Amino acid sequence: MALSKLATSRKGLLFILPALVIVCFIFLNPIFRMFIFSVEHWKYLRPTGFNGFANYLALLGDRHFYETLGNNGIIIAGVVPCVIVISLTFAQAIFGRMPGYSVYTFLFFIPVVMPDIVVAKILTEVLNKVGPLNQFFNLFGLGYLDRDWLGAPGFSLFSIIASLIWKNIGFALLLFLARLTTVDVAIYEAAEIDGASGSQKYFFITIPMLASTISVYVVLQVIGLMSFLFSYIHVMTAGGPGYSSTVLEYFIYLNTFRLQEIGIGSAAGMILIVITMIVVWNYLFASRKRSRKAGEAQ
Amino acid sequence: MGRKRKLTIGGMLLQIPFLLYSATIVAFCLLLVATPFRSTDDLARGILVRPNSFTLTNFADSWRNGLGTGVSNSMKLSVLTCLFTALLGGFAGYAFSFLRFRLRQGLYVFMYCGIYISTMLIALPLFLQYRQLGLVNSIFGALLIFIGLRLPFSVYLFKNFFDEFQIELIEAARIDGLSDMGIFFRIVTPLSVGVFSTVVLFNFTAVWSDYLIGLLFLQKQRLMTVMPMIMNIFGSGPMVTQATPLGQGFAGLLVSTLPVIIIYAIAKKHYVSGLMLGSVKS
Repeated sequence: MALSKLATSRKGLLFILPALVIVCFIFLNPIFRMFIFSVEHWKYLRPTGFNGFANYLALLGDRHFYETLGNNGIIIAGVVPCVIVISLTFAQAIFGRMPGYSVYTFLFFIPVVMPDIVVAKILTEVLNKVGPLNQFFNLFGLGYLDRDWLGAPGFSLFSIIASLIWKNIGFALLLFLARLTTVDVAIYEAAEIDGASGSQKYFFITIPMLASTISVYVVLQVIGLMSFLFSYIHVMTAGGPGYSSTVLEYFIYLNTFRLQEIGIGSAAGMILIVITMIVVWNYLFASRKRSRKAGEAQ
Repeated sequence: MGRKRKLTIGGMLLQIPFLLYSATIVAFCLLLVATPFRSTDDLARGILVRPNSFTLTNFADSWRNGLGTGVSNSMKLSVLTCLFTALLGGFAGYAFSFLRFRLRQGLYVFMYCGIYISTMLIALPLFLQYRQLGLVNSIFGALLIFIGLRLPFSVYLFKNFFDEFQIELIEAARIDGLSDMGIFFRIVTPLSVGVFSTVVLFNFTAVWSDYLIGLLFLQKQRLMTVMPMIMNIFGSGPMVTQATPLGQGFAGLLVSTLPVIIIYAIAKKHYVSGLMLGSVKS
């Protein structure tokens, strides 16, 4: 990009300064503090001195911590592939202008824009032991399915996964659809002339075209499922029963704000940061490599 | 592809998953819309049974029990956050795209990382710090957090948009002697209404839908934001008993959903362009 020489060094910094100061105060400052907290011994919301890595060791010896990490893994493994498969199918059909496609695209995005609390609260009602879902099952002779979806161990996490899939389909769908509309129709026409079948076009044109978008989606969703689930967990199950639906983010909340184990909670926080940064770093690295490759190809 | 519409068996089978998923969304919306209009006695029979009452008292009660306060606080915070993030994020995006300065790349990556940091991570250290500074239970304190939380994504959208901008326009304005401030307000802003709308849209929705920050930093009844207020009206706690004023809580849910859905219906294309700017392109 040709940049004017008139643009001096100081002017650029002045333009970003207000944003930079606020971002440093809201992100860098607390994260730095959290690191300090994580190597201190805490008693009743007060630090009582440096204690090295004791908090981290305590964390590594806590089986609830492993259960929590496992739950994170289960949520990611449950939500991401399901959403991808469903939204890819939907996107392909909507892109092909199936009857009713405009109504569907409007409807499917409603769960995405709904505030998390609204979705979480209504689904809590729906999944209630005496709620509509169980009433529905009983009405249609499926009484054996009647159970406490959010209160029974083994089902609470499953219910959260199902709720997240339900809410997130629209986002992935729109992402894939947006990418599909930028694909050159000529490629499909050429394939048709060569006698490619519908499924061949799907697997040899659509999927490869969408590969980079899918990987973007996976990163966004993995981060989202690691770091932005508080509303759901807090409203639907509060991490329970026991720790059976606690995720790392909620584990931090429980330890810091509920159990007042600031040191342990902060150590868990540092682990979440490291995981997040590894994912983001890989993603940035991969996308830079991809754009360099695209640059070479041109 | 898809220019001919043929009714095939495959095409009809394909409608099944679409109809099923649509049915769940419609049912969800019906539940959201119908429940607050039903009386408490009616709701005690269960929320799936056919309604036999119609009442507006839930809205009045809910509004009086704090929903009104929550809506006005959230509205204030959302609008102010949009204003500041549009202005400061716009400046920063402008600098990252059009100006050259030391550490440009590094500072950009630093800000970019903020998009992915969990709010939970900053919540506790900031809370303890805010308590020392006397900023807990202050609208200003919460506003600062919201602006900070929303800036990285805003800067990211602005930068991506401005990168596609015609650099010749900027160069020409510079030769004509316009300052960078002048270029930003007179040349760039009028040509970037789209990205400003997108930023406002995403930030408004995010602040409006926030739960965690409101829950922790605005705990006084008169300062609470809309989502924590609704949970308060429900009587909070994950497990709802029959005693909870379900109608009032649902009135809150419906009222708090309306702005978001209205904005979505009006500005759907900005959502899409935001997604394009935000993820597809990179």
